[in-house]
Amino acid sequence: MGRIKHHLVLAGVFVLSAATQAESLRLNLTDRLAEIPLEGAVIELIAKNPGQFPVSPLTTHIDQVNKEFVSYVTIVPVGSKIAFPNSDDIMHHVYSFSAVNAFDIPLYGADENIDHFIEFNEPGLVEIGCNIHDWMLAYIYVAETDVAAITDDQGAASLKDIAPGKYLLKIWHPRMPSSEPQLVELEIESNRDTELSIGLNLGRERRIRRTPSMARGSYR
Amino acid sequence: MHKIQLKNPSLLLCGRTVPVVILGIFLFIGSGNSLANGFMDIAIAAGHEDNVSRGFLDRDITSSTFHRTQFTGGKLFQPFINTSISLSATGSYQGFVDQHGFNAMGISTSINAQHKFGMGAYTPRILFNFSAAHENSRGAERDRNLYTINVGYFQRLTAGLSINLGMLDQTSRGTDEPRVDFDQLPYRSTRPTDPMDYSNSIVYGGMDYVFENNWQVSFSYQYYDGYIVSSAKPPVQLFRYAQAVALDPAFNDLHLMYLMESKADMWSSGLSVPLTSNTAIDLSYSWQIFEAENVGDYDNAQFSISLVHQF
Repeated sequence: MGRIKHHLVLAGVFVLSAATQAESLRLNLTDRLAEIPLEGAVIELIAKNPGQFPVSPLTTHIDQVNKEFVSYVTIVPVGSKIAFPNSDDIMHHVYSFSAVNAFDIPLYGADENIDHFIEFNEPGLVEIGCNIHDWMLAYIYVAETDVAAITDDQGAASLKDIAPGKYLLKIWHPRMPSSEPQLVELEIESNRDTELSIGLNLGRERRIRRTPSMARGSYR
Repeated sequence: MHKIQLKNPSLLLCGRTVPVVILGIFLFIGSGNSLANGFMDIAIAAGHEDNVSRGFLDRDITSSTFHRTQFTGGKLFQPFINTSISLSATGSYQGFVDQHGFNAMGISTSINAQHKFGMGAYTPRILFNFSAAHENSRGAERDRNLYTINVGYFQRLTAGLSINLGMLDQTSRGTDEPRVDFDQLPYRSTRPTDPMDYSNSIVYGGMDYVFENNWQVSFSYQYYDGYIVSSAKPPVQLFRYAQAVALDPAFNDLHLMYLMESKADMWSSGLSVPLTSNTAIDLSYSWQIFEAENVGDYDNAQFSISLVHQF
């Protein structure tokens, strides 16, 4: 069992345990206050050498079903292209005015814009919404390379085939107070797997309530 | 026998026109239109009202539990980016368990325009609404058309907190002949107009807060400047201050409904508990106090529980 060197770059991240086995990284994230596994968090490993990890842009889509984006969190490498088809029988207006990769696809209905792709050429977080349905919210995490993953319902995510060395680990979740990921420096040692458990301090979800009420207008 | 005969013929025409227009809107909304988003919702409520009759004197105050069903359908259009227009029609029925005379059925249509000063959920927006409604009561003398113009401002400040404010103008026009058999009364009305003909100006402000569990609380305040239709048994000296007096068909025994110039404050609070993403249980409580010059004031409290569902 090797020993992992790490320290916290930002406050609010607590390393609960560390263990190593071979050249892969397994991360277990928890909501520190609720003490439950944290699903839907993004982890990305950043190498000191910019060319170390491959970058394989994807062509994919984020659908709109029953007035929700599917999926809520999507990870793509930089340079990827994403379409935003509409599977509802009503119209949507998808937009983002995030600091990177802002775009706008005005009102369109089902079977429209299926082949209209937006290219995401800058790494960073892209928050998307619908200009008609305020509660519709989703995130695109544009990673610098292919070495990124999203935690499952057990709060776990793994990155494999990592060469030994020092790295910067980015961690981001929709309930983090900032769109900037939290950073953890770590070192992967040769012939050992690395396992980290980290608890995150989270805020409230930024998704707006969808459910109608008597206090609101009629269109939802 | 003397009867008031002041009905404006154009208003009678209006009384038939509004339902026809509303029917047309219903048909339009029901038709296919690929450029619009359709919506439908229903609200079923039960509650209690302290002063259904809007009585100023204790002997004239009547309370009742009530039930209300309201169905709304509409379509939303977006002619320009950040500007949307919705057309909707609403049918409603309100029944009073202890005061059947106030039961009323209503149909209405409205046009809503909204402009956002930019894109996104947090951008401020202005709202314009015009609605025309026809209310059909048990007694024809309470039937009326109600026209409402509303200009408002809405802004969501955080994911949980939003505020709204605005002003509203209501114009009520009676659609049937008011009746008063003055031979039965010890006085005569000097202003023999329809008590259902009046206008109200309202300013309002409110806020909603949604907790992390999606429970929503709301608070609002409204200030009325206009008129109130009150009911009373004769003889009442209040009638000398009335703008109009007529027999009140809401009661089986002799009551008069009379129009009083008044100002009012209304405070409301609500709690909305989501059951699903499309359904909620709402609790609301509102309290209002009306002040009529030279007459005094009265208050009215209303509590209701509603099931709200969006199809």
